[in-house]
Amino acid sequence: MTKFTVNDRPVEYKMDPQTPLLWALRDASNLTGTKYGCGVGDCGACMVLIDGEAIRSCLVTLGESEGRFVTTIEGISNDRSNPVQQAFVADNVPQCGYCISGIIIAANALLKQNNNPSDEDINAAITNLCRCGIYPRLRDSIKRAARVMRGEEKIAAAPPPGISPQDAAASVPAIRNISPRKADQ
Amino acid sequence: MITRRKLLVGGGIGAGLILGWGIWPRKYMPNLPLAEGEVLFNNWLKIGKDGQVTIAIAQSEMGQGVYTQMAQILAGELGADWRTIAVQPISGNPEFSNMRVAKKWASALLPPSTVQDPNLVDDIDEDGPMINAMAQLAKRGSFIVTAESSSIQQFEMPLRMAGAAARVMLAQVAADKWKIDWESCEVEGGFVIYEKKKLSFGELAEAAAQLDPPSPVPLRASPINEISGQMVERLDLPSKVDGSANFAGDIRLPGMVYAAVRAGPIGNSRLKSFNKKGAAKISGLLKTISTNNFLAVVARNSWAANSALDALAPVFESKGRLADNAHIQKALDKAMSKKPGDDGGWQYYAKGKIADVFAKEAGTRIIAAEYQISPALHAALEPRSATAHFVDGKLHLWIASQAIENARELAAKAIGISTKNVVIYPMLAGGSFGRNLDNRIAAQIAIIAHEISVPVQLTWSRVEDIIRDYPRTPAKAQMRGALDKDGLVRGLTARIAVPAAARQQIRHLVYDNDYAQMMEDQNHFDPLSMEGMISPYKIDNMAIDHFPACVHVPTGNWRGNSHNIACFVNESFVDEMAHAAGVEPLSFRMQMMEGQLRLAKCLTEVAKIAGWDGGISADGGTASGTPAGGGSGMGIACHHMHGSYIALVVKATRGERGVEVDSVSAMVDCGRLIHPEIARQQIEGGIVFGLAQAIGGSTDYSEGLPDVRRLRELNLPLLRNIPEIQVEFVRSEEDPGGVGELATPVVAPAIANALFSASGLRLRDLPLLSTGF
Repeated sequence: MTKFTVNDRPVEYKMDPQTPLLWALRDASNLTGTKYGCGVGDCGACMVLIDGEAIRSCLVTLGESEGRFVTTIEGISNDRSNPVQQAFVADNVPQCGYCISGIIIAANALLKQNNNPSDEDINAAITNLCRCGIYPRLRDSIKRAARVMRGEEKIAAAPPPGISPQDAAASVPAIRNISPRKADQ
Repeated sequence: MITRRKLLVGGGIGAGLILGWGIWPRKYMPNLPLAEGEVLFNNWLKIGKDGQVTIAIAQSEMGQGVYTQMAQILAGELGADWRTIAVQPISGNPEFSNMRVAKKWASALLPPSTVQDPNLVDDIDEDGPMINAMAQLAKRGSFIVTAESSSIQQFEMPLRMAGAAARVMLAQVAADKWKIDWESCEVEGGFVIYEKKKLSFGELAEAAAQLDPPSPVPLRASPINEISGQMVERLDLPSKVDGSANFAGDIRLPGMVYAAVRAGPIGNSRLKSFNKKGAAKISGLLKTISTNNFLAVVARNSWAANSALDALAPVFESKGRLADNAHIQKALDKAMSKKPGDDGGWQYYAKGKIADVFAKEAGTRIIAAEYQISPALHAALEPRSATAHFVDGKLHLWIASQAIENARELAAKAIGISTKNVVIYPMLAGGSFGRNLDNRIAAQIAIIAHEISVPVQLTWSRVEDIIRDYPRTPAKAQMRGALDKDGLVRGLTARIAVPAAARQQIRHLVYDNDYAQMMEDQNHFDPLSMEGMISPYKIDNMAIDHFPACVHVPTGNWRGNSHNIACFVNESFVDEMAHAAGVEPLSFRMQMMEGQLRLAKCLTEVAKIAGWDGGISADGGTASGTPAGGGSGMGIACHHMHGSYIALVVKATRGERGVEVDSVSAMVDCGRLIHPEIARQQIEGGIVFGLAQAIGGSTDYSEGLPDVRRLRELNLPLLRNIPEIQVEFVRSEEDPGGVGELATPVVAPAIANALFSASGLRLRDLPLLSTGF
């Protein structure tokens, strides 16, 4: 049995303690925002925050996670309000999206320590692999997130999930608030 | 006389193209599922009473923004509010068949002897009877394919028609209520409007959907409107920044279990044995499934499944030749030694009197160079994955595919059920770049799901994903140019040794060919594998020959396909000729530009934005072939494909740690842009993909296995390797060209040209690093 904290909730995993944290998060906790890309630390798609540090969760076992605080992409914010999330949407950073969770985690770890990073700081902190080639707009977007963190700029690019029909109708004239839609029959 | 067209011009809708109903899809029943309160307008569109507009899209979203761009086209024509737009992935309806690609790929289905006929080959892009017959065949079979940068070119008109038809139907209901002509109504922002009256789509949808669609369909005057052509919010981004966007491996179903598979070396391999008791100690192991060619393990989690697979240590045995580098080299060299016209070579393209300008009497100076291109792996970040549940005789399959109906067919065939009993849920792809045209995983998961009664998920390990990859083909090229005393190119010959890669891949897709048949298919002439080889320059005498070879590695589509090979050799060699002629490389290209206005403009404009220095290195090198060593230099290259044009200037340095690219400037003309930011993303991404191709991304093969098994070994660029990248677009009202692949092929030759300018060293191998950096 391994006990630790995931996204501010205590969790106990009934899995082999040798299981990499990645697979416990994905397969036992259904936190599928953390991606498998290589399993050997090459790509960074599985990055999570462990005690505030960006770590490749494929390289950490459940046993090693005992007593620690793990934050996945799902725990970065519950309404997409994290400055990196907002900046990435505002700047059209993601393409396929598979590397994005890991990069948002890495950028958050960086910005928590250094809210005014240079290009070199960002290069050193973001070691994640992206094949779509989002890199050319990544440094500027992380700097923009830093400005938001410093209170110099505000972004409202990514709407929060789960908007109610009432709120949608209130903000978009073309939407009518009718009785709640039911799922496909 | 007042024509209908004039009436429309006078009306509020605004008149554009009026298209006859004859080309409107009527043959196929829409298969877009409806929720309560939603009504169906056509194959593409449903609208809810609440005003939500849902657009059905069968193209695979791989990051290229196809969901957003296709939705923009329909929503703009409809007059919707972008904030009400949703996309529903769909499949199974031949109306979404990609006829553009079907027609193009049809030549691969022709008998080899037919392909060999140059007259027919010239007709490949035309509406010849044979090509049309192939296209019809494809249409019946529901040829839903996302490839060849074709989605916008193929679907812009049907999407506009679908949006326009619904716009008219909505306007007709409102006009009827207001007792006016529907032509007098404006439709915008999700409302039908007349003077101060307005009704929302949600209020009108139910009645409108009952009407017959208009015929002809009046399109808006311009394809550019408040949605299409604008930088609207990408629909897929919010879910991609909070981890909620689902890929095939993110599906979670009650009671779901996890599978891992391992298959044998590339070749004719079968599962021989495994250590049946080896995995006894693995907790969570549920079942082992062995088939003729792979071993599968099902467990309570993916880690347990993969650990069990290791412990079971499957052993494979192979018959016949296996993929191996020595053989690849030998096969290409042997092919190259043949002559066109005899049993091994085929003249793909010829014009003028090539023998005359290369003859001694012509007094020309002959320049020759040989290039070598290594296989390129896709290395998409998402390893191939799929989820399935076999229940009540039906297979439910969650998968991302560039050929989704092929996934359905392979899954059905693997377990002997009808394709009607495969329910497909198309998923987002975590990159692909041609990778997801291969659907072998669909057959594997069908077999596994059929064996167990619960939902199951299969994700290939990274190693398995690399081994199973169908790489972009290796090739060799011999180029010769004849320069006259004025330094003008009088003649150009290209001899390309390359497997019939496109032919092999397409036939594999259509006929589910096995390894042996795929290898046999590599031996034929293939115009599709020569695509991009015809030089854009005005050279009066030209010959391009294809020497097919079987390399014993099945190859596949890869972002840019043959254009990568073609552009690398053509744009490197034209640079070699420029230096030999002592002419500055941009001027050398420009003097040969005839009937290439758009390409020429990209070249001159990129030179301006990049501050083109003439390809003369800062520390004293010259364009005439005596550059100084070290330092940095500029290189230029251009290319056109899929109706789009690009020119690149690269500044690069040959440093101690290899090639260092300092800056990349691109000038692009891909016609009218549906979404300028997505187009820019695609060019930037294409450049990075091209950078990866230039410096890495390749593998050797030994005994049927790639030597590279880890992403780290591929020398793919990370953020710290990314130079300053500047992308500009030529303002264009031309029809949209393809954007997704355009930027990739042109990067490597631009870097090679820059390095020559910097150091005088000509790199003729791709990746460039393979020559001993």
